[in-house]
Amino acid sequence: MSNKKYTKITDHFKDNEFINKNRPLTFLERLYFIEIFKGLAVTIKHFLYNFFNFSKLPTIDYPDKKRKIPASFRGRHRLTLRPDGTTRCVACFLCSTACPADCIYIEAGEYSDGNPNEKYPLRYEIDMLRCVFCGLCVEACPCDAIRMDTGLYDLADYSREDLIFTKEKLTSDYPPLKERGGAFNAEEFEAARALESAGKDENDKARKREKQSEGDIKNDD
Amino acid sequence: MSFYLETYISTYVFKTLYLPIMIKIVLAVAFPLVVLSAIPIVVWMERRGAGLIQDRMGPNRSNIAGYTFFGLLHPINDAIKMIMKETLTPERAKVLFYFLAPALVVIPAIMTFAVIPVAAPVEIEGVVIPFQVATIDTGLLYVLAISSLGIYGIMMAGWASGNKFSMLGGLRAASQMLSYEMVLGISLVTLFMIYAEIEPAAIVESQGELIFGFIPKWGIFLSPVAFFIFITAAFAECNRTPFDLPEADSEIVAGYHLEYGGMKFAMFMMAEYLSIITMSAVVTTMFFGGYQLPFLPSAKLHALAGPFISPFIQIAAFSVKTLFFIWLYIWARWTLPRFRYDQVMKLCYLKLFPIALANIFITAAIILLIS
Ligand code: SF4
Ligand code: SF4
Repeated sequence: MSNKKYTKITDHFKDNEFINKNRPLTFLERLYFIEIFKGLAVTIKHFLYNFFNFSKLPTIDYPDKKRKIPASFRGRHRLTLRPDGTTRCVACFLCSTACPADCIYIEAGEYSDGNPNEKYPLRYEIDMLRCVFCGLCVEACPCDAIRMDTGLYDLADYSREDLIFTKEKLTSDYPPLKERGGAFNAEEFEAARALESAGKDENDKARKREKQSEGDIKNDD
Repeated sequence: MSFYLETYISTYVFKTLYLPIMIKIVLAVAFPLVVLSAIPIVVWMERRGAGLIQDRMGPNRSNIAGYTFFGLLHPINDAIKMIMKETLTPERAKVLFYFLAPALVVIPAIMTFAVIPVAAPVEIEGVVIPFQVATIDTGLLYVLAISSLGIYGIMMAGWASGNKFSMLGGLRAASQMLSYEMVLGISLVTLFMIYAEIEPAAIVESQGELIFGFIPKWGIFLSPVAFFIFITAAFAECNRTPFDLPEADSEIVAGYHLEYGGMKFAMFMMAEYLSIITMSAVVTTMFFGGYQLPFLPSAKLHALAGPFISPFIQIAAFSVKTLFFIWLYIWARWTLPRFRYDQVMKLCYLKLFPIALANIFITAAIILLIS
């Protein structure tokens, strides 16, 4: 990681055979005629290979099949709940203070039924159009009340209003733990890792396919 | 009534006068329809072909109840979208010419197909059915004349849009197409001399024979130089890569059709694909034996398969050959980079033109020596 390595790499590339030097074209190349056929051969090779190995294409059919995200992925937020169903959030405003995008809006309320936690958020809204998914809110929270382990990332919608996520959406609208790509604590992370390495992962398959097709079509320019 | 009809149908007047006219009308309606409905297939070939050449899948999402038909529905979706689009007229457009231009581009592109024979004429009960809309003596000169009419539409589009990029695109198209028109014609002269014919049907008939008894007498074997010149010029005629300078997006945005949207834009695209289809058909007719199967001239085929089936076999042969050249257009598009404009002009006037002329003289000398 030092400068030394960097200079080494540039040294390596100085006389590399892969670098195209500016050289005058040979007579045959200037004719262009033969080169056309060479080019056509390259493209038809790709065409035929992909035509007969259609399932090996590295493309993932996105909305139908999704690439599995890594375990440490920061997805859409969720608000966690206590066993009794109330939000863990105590409306301390630490998250909204930490937020660099200034996109968390909290309105605090007080429990009147003698709940020892005293405060809770009456309103808790995150403006997803402004959020930069930095995760600072999660780090700031003293109560483990906000997490970004839902694994959701396709947050498109038709109106701006729908993209301001309310407390209700943040507490309920996410997949259950097993189906989630994301992880929050060490155990979940390890579990997700284990799943990945067990080869059940679409990702790995796609990566394998990519490598394979690279290996099969070697002499491209 | 039916008795009257039957006797009338068997009369000499009907068979020799009205029936041929009716057949011609049917052909005149069927040809443009078939060629037009081939456009979505060519568009599909282009998109999926491009995808596979570039290690992608190509468009495959649009479906009816989950069935995608290999992505064939995308052109239909496009058509619906284009038709529903709002009509916009740029402020500085010359309105009449602006609206006239797309039509002037499409009409010649369809008309060219009229002289292409897709199968040998067959005789059923004394009635000759030609598979060619118009059998005219000028033959291929008609193709050259009509296909160059398309330039007017493109020039008009470029000028009437009131946009400088369009203007440049139109000018480029005009000079490029006029220059290559000439090379196109000259490369065909060689073949006219060899076949001593300019009528496509007659040319195709003579391509059924063999040279030295084992090579089909196809244009490509008789004059390969003319073939390569012709195909280069044909690419330039259709404004296709590597000669797509009139619509070079990196320099002049979209060239002559920059200001067109919706169905008017679609008509330019249609014209482009139509001229690809027509040019492929002309190449097939002139250089690859048209509807002739190799080693099986139409007379032999008629004797073998009878007058009802053999036209279908020949139409299939013709379609396969034409499809190959359409594919060649697509294939080349995703292979070759675009030329610079001065290179295009130099290629035309300093390379192809002299070679084509020399080819004429050499061929003429050989024909003199042989006869
Ligand atoms: S992830 Fe960052 S930007 Fe988004 S709400 Fe949390 S602190 Fe704000
Ligand atoms: S989410 Fe956490 S940091 Fe934010 S207000 Fe609630 S308890 Fe405080």
